[in-house]
Amino acid sequence: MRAFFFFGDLAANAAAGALVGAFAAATCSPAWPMVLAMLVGMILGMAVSFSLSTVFGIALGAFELTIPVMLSGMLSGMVVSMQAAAGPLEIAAASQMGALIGLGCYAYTAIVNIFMRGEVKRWTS
Amino acid sequence: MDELTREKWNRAAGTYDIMGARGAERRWAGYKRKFFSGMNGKVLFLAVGTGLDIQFFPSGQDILGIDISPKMLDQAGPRAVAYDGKLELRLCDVHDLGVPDDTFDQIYTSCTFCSVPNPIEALRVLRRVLKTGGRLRMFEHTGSRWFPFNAMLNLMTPLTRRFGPEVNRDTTGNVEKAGFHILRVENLYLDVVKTIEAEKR
Repeated sequence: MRAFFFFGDLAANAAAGALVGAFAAATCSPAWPMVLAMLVGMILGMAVSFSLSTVFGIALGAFELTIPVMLSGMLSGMVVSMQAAAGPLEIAAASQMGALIGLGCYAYTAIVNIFMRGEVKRWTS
Repeated sequence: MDELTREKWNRAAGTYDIMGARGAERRWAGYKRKFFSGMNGKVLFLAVGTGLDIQFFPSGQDILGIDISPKMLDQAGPRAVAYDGKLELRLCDVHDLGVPDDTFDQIYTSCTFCSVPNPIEALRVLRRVLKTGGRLRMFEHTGSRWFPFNAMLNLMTPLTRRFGPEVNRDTTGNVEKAGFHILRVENLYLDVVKTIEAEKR
């Protein structure tokens, strides 16, 4: 069961990053101002990854999936759209970049989780 | 009774098990079994929903399970009947419990206070019906103190509250504001999914 969730989480993050990357590259072009591309990429990333996490969440649970997947989508959207605004970017390359960002976001969240888990003394969120 | 909240959860009842019964329950099954294993005495379980958590209750307990949605309780019915102990389901709003003061030895909640409309007021009601020295035990998801998780949860909340929970609440702080003494907080996933144990003094 642990392996199912581990590989499921990895796949969901990579898929979210790749899909958002492809959308961002298809939407933004070198004609776009960098800041506008970043904002559009972020919003696009959040919208796509939230929808995806709802679907993946059925099999993989809600929060443990939604938080890293949302981060993957947001960051992938921002980085890939800025890259697309900086110069021509193939959809395949954008997907690959997005997938790598997704895997990185999953790793980051998993590492942060190791440090945050357990009994806490300061609890106001 | 809060009609808006009741309607929201009536609408959610049809798909609640699809969203919650597979991934989420399987992922948290071990924690939930351990969390509910401390049930003892007369217990109030708040927001029983479709009864997904009943499978984790230890047998032989005396539990009152409440929910605001009749459609949720319809689905919880068979699960309550199958429970090996005394489990009464009751349709009511936590803000209007209709239970005398100092009734329960323990109160349990599970992913509830993301959705209660007036959380501090509801927690004060729970404090009233809990006996002095009684325990409030919560398995909840809350907001986060840390960037970027806090920013994401704040951005998601206007959307998620339309069909279900608010994902950026400071439930631990609300427990303190309601007058409980917090004994223990344990983070289970980041600082978002956690258990909270508090006492009425």
